[in-house]
Parts: sequence; C-alpha cells; structure tokens
Amino acid sequence: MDLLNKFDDVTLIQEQLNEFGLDPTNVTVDKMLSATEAIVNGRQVVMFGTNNYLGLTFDPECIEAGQQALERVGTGTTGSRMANGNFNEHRLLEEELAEFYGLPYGMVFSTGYGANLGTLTALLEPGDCVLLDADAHASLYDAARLSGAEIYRFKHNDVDSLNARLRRLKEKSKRTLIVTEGLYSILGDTAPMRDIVALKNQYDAYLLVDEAHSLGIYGENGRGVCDAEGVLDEVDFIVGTFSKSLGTTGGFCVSAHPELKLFRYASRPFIFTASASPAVVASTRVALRLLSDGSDLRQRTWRNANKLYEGLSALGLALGPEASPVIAVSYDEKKNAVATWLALLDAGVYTNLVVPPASPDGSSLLRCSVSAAHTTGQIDFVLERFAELQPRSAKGAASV
Amino acid sequence: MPGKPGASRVALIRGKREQQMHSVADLEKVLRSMLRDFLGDRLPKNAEIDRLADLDLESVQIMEFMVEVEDRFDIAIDVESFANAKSIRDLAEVVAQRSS
Repeated sequence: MDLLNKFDDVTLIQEQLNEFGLDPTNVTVDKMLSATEAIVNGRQVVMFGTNNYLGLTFDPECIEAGQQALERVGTGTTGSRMANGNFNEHRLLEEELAEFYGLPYGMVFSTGYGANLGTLTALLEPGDCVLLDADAHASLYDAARLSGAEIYRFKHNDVDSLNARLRRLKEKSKRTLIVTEGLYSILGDTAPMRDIVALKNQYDAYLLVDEAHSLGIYGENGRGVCDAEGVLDEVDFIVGTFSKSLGTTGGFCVSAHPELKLFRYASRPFIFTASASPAVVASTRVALRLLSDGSDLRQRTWRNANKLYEGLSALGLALGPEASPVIAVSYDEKKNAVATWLALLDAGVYTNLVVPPASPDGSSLLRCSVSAAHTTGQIDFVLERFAELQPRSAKGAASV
Repeated sequence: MPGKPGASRVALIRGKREQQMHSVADLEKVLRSMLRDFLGDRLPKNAEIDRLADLDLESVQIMEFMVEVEDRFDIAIDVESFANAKSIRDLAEVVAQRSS
C-alpha cells in the first residue's frame, strides 16, 4: 500500500458517477446569463440550485461598487489581516455587520468555511467540548476537529437528545459550545432555537449558530432564524457567509462577547490566509446595505419559495418538513434521483443532486433553492418539468 | 431499550473493580446484539461483526449507532473515542469506562 493507493477508491466513485452519463459533481456553467439563468453544457437552463436567495449577483449597485474598488484599491490585498492585508474596508464591513445585528463586535473572514474554522479554533481547545447537531455542515465538524476539543453529536434538531448530552457532560457543560445552524442547507428545516437557547442557559453552556443559509431570509430585517425566534441577544456567537444571500464570497462572526476582538490574535485560519479582495468587500458592503435598508427582496424570495413548495407538494412529491427557500425532493432510490436530475437538466432546469454519503439522512435528494430573482414563469416552468417526470418520481408519488 | 437481558448485567459494572472484566464481556454481548439489530440486512455478507473497522459503515450509520449506544447506556461518548474503537471489544471498554 503506497501513498496514492487510497485514490483507487476515489477512482471507483468517479467511474460510478460517470456511468450516469454526466458527473453531477463536475457540471460546468459555461456562462451565467442572469441571477437565475445560465448556459450549462451548451444549453440554456433555469438555475434552481444556486443559494442566490436574494438574487443579488447581478445587482447593478453591487457590480459598480466592485468595479470601483478594483480600480481604486487593486485586484487583491496580497497579505493577511495580521500584516499588510488589513484594509480600512475590512474594518468598515466588520462595523457594518455588527451594527446590522445590533451587536458590538464583528469579524470578517475570507470564506464561510474559513469563518467556521477561524471561530471554532479560536474558541475551543483540548479539554473543551463541542456538541454538534448531527446534520451540521462539514465546515463546522472540520472546525471542531481542528480545535482539538472533544466532539459529541446530538440527533438533528432533537432537543431531548441535546438535553441528555448536556446532562451527561455534567460540570463539563460549562466548557461546552453547542453548535447548530439556523436553516439547514439540505432539507431546508429550521432549528428549534428557543428550546436550544433554554438548554444552553440551563446548563451554562455557550451557543454558536451558523446562519449561512438564513441570513437575508428570516427575521424582520433578514438577520436570520435567531432574530426571527426572538433569541438573538441570547446566542453567544453568530457565524455566516456572504456567498449565499449577499452574492459574493467571505464569512463573518458577530458577538456580544468582547473576546471576539481577541480572536484575531488567536485564530490561525484568520491569521494565515490572505484577506478578502477589495472588490469582494465593496460588493458585500453594498449588498448588506441593500438588505439593511429594507426592500421587497425577502418577500419575493418567500413568495417564490411558498409557490414552489406548494406546487411540488401538490404533485405528491416527498418534501422537507417546512417551506423555505431550500426545498428538497426526497427519492426512495438513488437511481431515481439521478435519472430525474439528468432529465430535469435536459429539460432546462438545474437543481442540486444530493446522494449518500453527502445527504444528511442517507436518502437521495434533489435540492432546489429559490431566489428573489426567479419569475413566476420560471417557478411554473420548473413545476411543469417535475410534473412531466412524475411517473419515475419520489417517495410520496405513489399515494397520490 | 431498557429491560433487555443485557441491560441489568451491564448495571453491575458500576461499583466493584473486580467485576469489570465480566462487565466488559457482558457489554460486548449487548453491543454485538445492538449492532446486529441496527444493521439488519445492511450487515455485509460474511462480515465479522466484531471487527467494526472492516464493516465499512458509512459515516451516517456510524453516527446513528453512536447516538444509540450513548442513549442505551446513558453516557456521553466523544466522536474520536468511538472512531478509535476498531472492534466490539474496544467499544465495550469505552462504554465501561464512561459508565464508571
């Protein structure tokens, strides 16, 4: 067994994917035409799997701000925030994020993955404990591992399961960070945040919530699920990303704990990477301003999400437990999910194919994400395509 | 699932040190039975169930089984300790240690 033998298994996976006729993990977008349309594999498709929830990727103001920053500040920072890469715009974005959440402290990272790595490794060390929801994103799990803390898992969104683990940790619960997401990215279900906060308080633990998919969507001002549930001021750390609703790249952490200011000295993933490029920061600041100034973007996203959820539900398809901008259609067999995914693409609809081991519950899913930029006609189009493919469809189909 | 025959014997491990060896053996039986029930027809043919490392379980299955073991014995097992258990015997020792 030599170093590269492990790739034999990977080759096998690749061969299996290629048997579908098109490797679902290696689709190339030839050209984006708008926030919701693209040329994929030479044909025009409507994009229903982009996480572009507010449709801001082609917003003229965001584009103009990026262009101006490119000309004014240059293409990149060529350095870390600890050294030459700490630009005034990074600090302003941090202040604006903190202000948006009504919290005193904010910190910006170059990616969402980096935000989770940077936050958890600064917060946790060997001897601490982290209690992760079973469906928490890979970046949160990787971050917990990198920290050296003891990792415990609780059943997805199961308050009793969380309670039992906090109880079993006894006095160690005070050194425990509970980690959940606001909106879960595959099934589109939200966390029971009030119950989780009550447990955190009962056991004197800490709570970090990843609002990557819920920023811009939940709460009166789009601040996420914690705000929508009225517990934002009781959550210790909120992390998130700019690469969904805000249409750029990067990540952040906001908190009421002054220790967040010290993370920049203690967080290796923050220190040892180049800071976000000026154009990205400038576009992100405008997107955040558009969100905080208030607009009908959120309402449009929800109108589209509800229409798609109700339409797919009426077709008898097996969906996640609640309507949200993430709508997953569940299939009994992987081959049915793959066949439907290919047929939809062929018919002009791009969705995300999620199969084991990437799916949270071992099932095979087609994940749709809805944007404010989708037109009613595009929602109707995708519903019609699903309806045409119904005979080879999903779990609930037979009962209708 | 309290009330199964193994559960009452497992309770013996709490307390006297000399009972530990028997208890780990008892735990092995309980865990073997739990894993058989958990895997059902997903248990690979000709697989030696005691060798966890060879069962080629998917991460979702490992996680689900871990949570089941924790709840059965009312203990907390961290992910790394569970992952390091290469056999039912290793796992029984982890459970015994956490139960004491």
